[in-house]
Amino acid sequence: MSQFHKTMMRKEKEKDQSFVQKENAIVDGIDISGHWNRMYEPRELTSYDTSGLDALRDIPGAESIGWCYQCAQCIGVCPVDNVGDYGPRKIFRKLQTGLNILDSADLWQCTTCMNCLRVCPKEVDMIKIMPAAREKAILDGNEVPAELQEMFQNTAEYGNPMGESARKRTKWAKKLDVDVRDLSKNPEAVDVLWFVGDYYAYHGRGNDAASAMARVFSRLGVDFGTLGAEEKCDGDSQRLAGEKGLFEMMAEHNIEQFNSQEFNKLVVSGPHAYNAIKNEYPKMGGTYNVEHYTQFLSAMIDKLKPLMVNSFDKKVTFHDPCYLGRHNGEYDAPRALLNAVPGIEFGEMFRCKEQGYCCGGGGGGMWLDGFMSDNINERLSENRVKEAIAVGAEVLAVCCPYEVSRFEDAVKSTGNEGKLEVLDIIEIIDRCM
Amino acid sequence: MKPVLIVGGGPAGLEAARGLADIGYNSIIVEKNDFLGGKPIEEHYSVLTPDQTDAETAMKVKIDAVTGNDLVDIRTNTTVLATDGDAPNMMVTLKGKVDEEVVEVGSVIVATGFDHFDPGKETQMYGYYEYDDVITLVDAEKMFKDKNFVRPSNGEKPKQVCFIQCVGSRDRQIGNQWCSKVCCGVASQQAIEIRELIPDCRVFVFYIDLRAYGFWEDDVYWKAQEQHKVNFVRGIVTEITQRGDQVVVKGEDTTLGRPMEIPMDVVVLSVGMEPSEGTKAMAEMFKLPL
Repeated sequence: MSQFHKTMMRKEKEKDQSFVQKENAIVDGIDISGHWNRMYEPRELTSYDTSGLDALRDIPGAESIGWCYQCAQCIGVCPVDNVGDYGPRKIFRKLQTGLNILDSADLWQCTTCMNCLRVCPKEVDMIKIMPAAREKAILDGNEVPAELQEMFQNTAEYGNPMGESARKRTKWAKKLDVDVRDLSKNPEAVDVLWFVGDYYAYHGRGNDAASAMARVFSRLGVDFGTLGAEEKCDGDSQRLAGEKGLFEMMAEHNIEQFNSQEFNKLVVSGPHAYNAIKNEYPKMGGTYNVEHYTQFLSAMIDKLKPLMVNSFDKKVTFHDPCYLGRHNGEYDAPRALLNAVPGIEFGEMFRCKEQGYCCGGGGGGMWLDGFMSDNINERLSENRVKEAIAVGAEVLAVCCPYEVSRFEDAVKSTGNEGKLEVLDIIEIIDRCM
Repeated sequence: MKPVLIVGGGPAGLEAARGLADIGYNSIIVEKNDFLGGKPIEEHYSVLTPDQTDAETAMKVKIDAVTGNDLVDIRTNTTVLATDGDAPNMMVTLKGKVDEEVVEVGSVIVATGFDHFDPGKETQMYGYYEYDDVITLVDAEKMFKDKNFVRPSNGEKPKQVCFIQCVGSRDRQIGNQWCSKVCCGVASQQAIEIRELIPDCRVFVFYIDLRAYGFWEDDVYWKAQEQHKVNFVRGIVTEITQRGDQVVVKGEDTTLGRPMEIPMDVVVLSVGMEPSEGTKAMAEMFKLPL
């Protein structure tokens, strides 16, 4: 446990005088585990110190935190509460009873999955509240979890969260027998500018998906190119994790690059890039005709179908990415593609579409797994993988670049290796060709 | 046509007389006080929901609408003594300051209103007569009217105030099983007034269910929470004790599942409504169910 965590936990404990109950308590070398070992500390609330609430609602963007009337609908759908003890309604009550969220572990738990806002009758908007609060904490110089801080630094320095050099961004394409035009080197007008994204470009399993995409585009005769080494991270997760300045840096760079190229359509691999370019870049003067790749391909489904000649005889379920589904309302395109796959046996998970569970990677969560392990009893991705297995799936299909690695890790950590394969939809399509 | 007898010159009685006059009916308003306007005037209400209109001004509009109207016969300082016969032929005996008079009326509207629940009644709830800083909504109204909300114990501005809902309502032991329906809205409105008068005063409302129907929901309750930063906490107070120069409210914060003991500078009891003496007497006289 890092020093940061220890400090956090001590601070929390000082504030929250609730009772402590340990599963296994060892005192002076003697195991005193059992129902009688509960050690009660004073539980009475002796003040309602609302200064933390007042301070938070004064931050521009975070005003709606003060609107919560404790209906508790958010807790029923909060993916973090599902595996821990955290949710908007609980945050509100803690704020009324002395919590200063700006120096609390609660500041970093929200994945901005938007399930709470979907059901909130008062429109308490955690998607605006959390980034605003995090930005304030960062500006105030409060401690940021180390792994997230490292991601911020990598992004600032290298233009991607991994800290890889820009030069290596196109490395994956070199092994391919398909031509992926690098427009930054040879500018020419294309129909489709493909925003590849960091995980497709740098992560091993992402490379598989990127290669699949290039092959599928090529088979479909798509006239496409990429920004090559000039592409940088979309910046959306940095923004949601509180680094608005970093987001603006990334966005300005990408907008400049987009504007220097001639294309009709931007196609992105990932929902986070989709969200950034569709909803955030226009605020900075960059407005583009952007589509997630599932949208782009599902519109060409008549052309795609005859190309898929190999049967994919597997039971497949699909995980809706929060930023494609709830955030941008797209539930049909990925399903249209999956249903077009020959031989596939498709089935939904219990929590799907609007009600879809979160993988835990959004809002900076991708770089907070170590931090979160002290706050939740299992990873969100583990919870999700168990659900996929419960519905009898052999393949968990995804269409967000964060998810392949997250879910593959979760398959291993839950002891389900060999039982569930995690594939990007583009990989399934590619396998059928 | 015989006139309609309206018993009570408060908001309801005045509105009834105006409505009857509008459609050409004669009426007689009987009011036991020497003034019209009922509880808002009698108890010095400050403002009315949802628009914060001054209570006196609002009542004057209602009074002016019937005063000098040929169709409305106003009898102040008058009570109803007896009744004989049934609608549409009723002989009702009125008692003025000196004289008794029998009037012939076609029908009767009973608008005798309510009394505020007395929190000292029966169970001496919440130490109302014991602690100076435990007051009722009615006591608070008088202070709001003077734009001077203070701690009765020392005349200073409070820094922390709470409202306790459902005092005298929804209680089998007290015998009032009904919800008084308006207290949630009135408490929310008063909370707004405290926040406007004393911006650095924290205000809490402890409730069982927040029953803010109609405009009381978003125009008063939501407004109190969202714009005026009033804190609503689910779980009402069990009892009040004194500690130093503050009163301490004891109960459970139910959405946290934790007991609470919070010092307050002023506690406002959101007292509900009971049928007034006049209402009880008229119910008996006219054989109306209560």
